[in-house]
Amino acid sequence: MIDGEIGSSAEQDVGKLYRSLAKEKAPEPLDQRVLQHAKRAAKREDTRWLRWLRPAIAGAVVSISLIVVAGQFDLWNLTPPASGDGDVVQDFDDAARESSARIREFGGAVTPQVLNPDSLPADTYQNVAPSTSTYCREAQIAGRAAWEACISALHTSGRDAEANEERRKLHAAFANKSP
Amino acid sequence: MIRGLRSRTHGVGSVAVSSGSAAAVSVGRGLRDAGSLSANEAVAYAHSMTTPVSDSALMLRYADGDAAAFETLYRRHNDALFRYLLRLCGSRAMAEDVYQEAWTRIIRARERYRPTAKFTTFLYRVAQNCFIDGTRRNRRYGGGPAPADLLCDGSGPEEATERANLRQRLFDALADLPFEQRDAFLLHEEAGLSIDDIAHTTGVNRETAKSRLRYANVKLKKALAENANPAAHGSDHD
Repeated sequence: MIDGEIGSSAEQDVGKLYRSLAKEKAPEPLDQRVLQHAKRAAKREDTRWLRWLRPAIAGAVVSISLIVVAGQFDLWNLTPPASGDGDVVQDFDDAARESSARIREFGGAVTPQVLNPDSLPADTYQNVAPSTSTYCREAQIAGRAAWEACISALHTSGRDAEANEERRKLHAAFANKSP
Repeated sequence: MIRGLRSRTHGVGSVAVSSGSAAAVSVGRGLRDAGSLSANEAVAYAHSMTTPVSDSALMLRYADGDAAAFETLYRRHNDALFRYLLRLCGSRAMAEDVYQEAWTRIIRARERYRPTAKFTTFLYRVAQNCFIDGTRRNRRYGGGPAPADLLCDGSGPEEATERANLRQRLFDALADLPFEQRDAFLLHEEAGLSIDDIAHTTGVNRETAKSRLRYANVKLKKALAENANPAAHGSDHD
């Protein structure tokens, strides 16, 4: 029967012989282990979304922590600085309001020609020298501080040239003079 | 295909093609005669009962969460795969470990599974990879086949001694084959793969797979012929 011939029939003989002799079966305990594993895996399929829950929670905790820490140390620069330019701006605003209030107090009719020089405060420009102020005519009447405030207001409003001119006049008026 | 269906037991939903078809047709005809089914419905019923669900379809069902589909699929291939690994590993302990690992990988891969090839090809390729990984990882298995273990198939002591001797010779000859030839032979006999499928599974061209299978058969026949006389021991290695 077995003569070493190479051919499909010979191959089939060996194959047939093998199949008739190979009778082993997979052990039942092994079968049960595999099937149980497969069932558990299929059940986990329903809760697949839970796989993302833990990383999502961790990410949320980290994000919130970063936001809180950043807020504690003002890393986002949300609050204005307590000193520096902010104070200067505030001072300018206050001075401009004060200057405007004092100008209104004296009214539009108040002019250097009308005012009695004797009634003016000592630190006013009228007492020092004839008025040459062009833009802060009323403010100078209220005094040096008001004149300074007017100059600051001019700077704030972007009228730097006028402000510088007024400052030159102020310095000239109060040179060697104490306020 | 039928050769591949070597399972001796039937899982839920599986159908024995050869023995069930006549019965299913008969049942369908009976239902038609009783007025429960129309003629077309009876034909469809018989067809559905005789056409087994494909392995790929079962795997896809399992991917959707149907554990019963996996059991059906498993019962179709468990014994054949076990024997394949038993012959390949030469050790029952290693065969069981590799077997479990192979199915574990199949289970894990269910979501990524795409029926681009036969499921059997996929299954045995995974098993091969597990065998290779097992060989590299666990040198402790080593050694050759344990004849007593390999022959333990639940057969009774009354089995003919000659048959037992024939089996021993065949399995010894199989163990003596080079790995590639043994693998090709087992894929052909246990998995029922064609030469093209064997080539696809092992990653070689068709001619190489064909050559390996042919040489395996030739050597086995030669070994069986030489060992037919118990006094003439030794195998001829080419």
